[in-house]
Amino acid sequence: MLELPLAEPGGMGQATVTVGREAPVSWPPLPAGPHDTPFVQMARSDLRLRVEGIARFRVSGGERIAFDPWQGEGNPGDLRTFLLGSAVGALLIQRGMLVLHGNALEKDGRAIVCLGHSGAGKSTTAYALMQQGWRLLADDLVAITPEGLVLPGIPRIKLWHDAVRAFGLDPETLPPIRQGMGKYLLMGEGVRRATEAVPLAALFLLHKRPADGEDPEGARITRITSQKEAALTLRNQAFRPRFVRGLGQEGPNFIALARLQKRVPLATLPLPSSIAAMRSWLEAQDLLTAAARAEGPRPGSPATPAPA
Amino acid sequence: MSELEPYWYLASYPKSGNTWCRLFISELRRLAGLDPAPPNAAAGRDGRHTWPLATGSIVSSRHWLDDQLGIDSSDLRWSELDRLRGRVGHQRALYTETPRYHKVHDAFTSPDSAGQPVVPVEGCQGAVLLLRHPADVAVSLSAFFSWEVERCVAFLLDDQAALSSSTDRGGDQVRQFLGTWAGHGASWVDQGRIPVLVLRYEDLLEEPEGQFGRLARFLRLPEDPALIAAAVAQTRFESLQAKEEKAGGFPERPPGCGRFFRSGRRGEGRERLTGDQLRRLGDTFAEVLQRFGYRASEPFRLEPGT
Repeated sequence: MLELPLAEPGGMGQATVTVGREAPVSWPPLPAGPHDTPFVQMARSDLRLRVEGIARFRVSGGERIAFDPWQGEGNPGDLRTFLLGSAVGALLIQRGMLVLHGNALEKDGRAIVCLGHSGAGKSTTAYALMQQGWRLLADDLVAITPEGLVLPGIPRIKLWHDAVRAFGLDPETLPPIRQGMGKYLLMGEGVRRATEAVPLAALFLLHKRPADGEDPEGARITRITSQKEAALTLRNQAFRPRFVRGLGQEGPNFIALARLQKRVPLATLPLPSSIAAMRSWLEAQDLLTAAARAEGPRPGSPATPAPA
Repeated sequence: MSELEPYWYLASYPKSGNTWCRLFISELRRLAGLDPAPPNAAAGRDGRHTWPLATGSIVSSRHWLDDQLGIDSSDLRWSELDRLRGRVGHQRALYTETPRYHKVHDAFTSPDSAGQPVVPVEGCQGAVLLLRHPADVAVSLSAFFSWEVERCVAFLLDDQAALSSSTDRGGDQVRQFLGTWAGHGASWVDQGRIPVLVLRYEDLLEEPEGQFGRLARFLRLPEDPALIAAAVAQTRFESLQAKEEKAGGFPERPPGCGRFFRSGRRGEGRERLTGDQLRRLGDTFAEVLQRFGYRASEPFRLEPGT
């Protein structure tokens, strides 16, 4: 009923994932877990998510997503938004994948992953790079295999109204992520997609430069050289760390992160705050090699920006 | 378990001394030896090393809400989110280890929260409500947002006023409904769910040791007068200004705003607002101003603290 292009971690074939409607009365009750919240319940290999007004979800065994619309048939667009986000993310975590919150782009058979907090400009960067010849591997959640390959994910980008306008697109022609919202879905022909898993060349932590910032140091791609800082950064950029912990995947995840950190350079990507300036700045960077070439922070100034 | 430990709110209309109180709390805890080492000392640019502001995430943080809700909160409408926010529970975000005095600018309820609090109250030990005369808030807002004073006065009077309310772009905070200045203060004082300590900015300036002492007592922090006095001295306005100068900035300063610690004085509203602007604020907020001890006849003379 839904196309879920999830490759197998090892064989690169299509994974067996079933998605279907189920009545929650058939779901075995879960004991309260130490990492549960009023909206998320978790046990090893079993996660329940309550999205009020939309649906209840059960994600189990790394192979099944069941949902129960809040009312009647539910709104298919609304269901898909949460299904392809949190539910698929939980499923990938259950499958032992390292799942990062960001997006992945491919060029010349290699990938970069852009990470950053909400509002840091991840989706805008992905769209800008796509216009510069990169192909989209995944947006929002990025699954990385133990071998360091980035898997192709759901071929869509979510863009806010202001970004849509800044790119010269017409919001009227795009489907909103949900009825009446100022955030839109780019998919289908609007997205240049990569369909093969490719090796990861670099990890970038995105942040916006202050609009009135004049410090050249703040505009430099800076390698995160401190092992501790890199480890904390990656841990904090995991997709829903609470799911990882509640699903009992924290140990394997820790090892996967450590391996990734050893293998792939991590650097900051200080984006100019206007979209026009960001596009031309990105155009001038060679992102496949920039992280590896970047110098570390100057003494006394750590690489990562403080949260706003 | 550790995730259920007590927490407090530092509630205020913007530009009313919230950051000052957070800096005081951090300094007091540091002097009392309660926080042996700054958490995650390796992470953060110079601002975070200079400014010990780790007093818990702001309640409108998307990072925390996404963590508790298990979804991307930006996939929800503001109206849907406000109905959920008060029920997201009371756990700290995963991997945060700071003490928990959470800053909050939201009014206690919003038109979308169906009469329920917008902030979680379960396990909350209380809220400190910081108040500052609205005319002075207008001047401070003007510098902070780079808005004309008139726009700030209109904002204070706007019963639909909110922060981060755009539906056209993303951000790391969700919408915070404020309503009018008076409605905002009343929403916190009149809720019956958690204890409230009201502190006026003007009293903090006038009588810092006594007022910060009340703050410390309410938050169950050390009350030793010598410690309080030392923490007060370290977080005096002039000290913070000098520190901002030396550190080359303050992390919460928005683009375009010259200095975060700009003046800190009281009574600037009377100097900078027009007679008409002062009258509009005074007339519209008469009842609440009087209730909080701001005299209508002499708006910048204060009744003794309550």
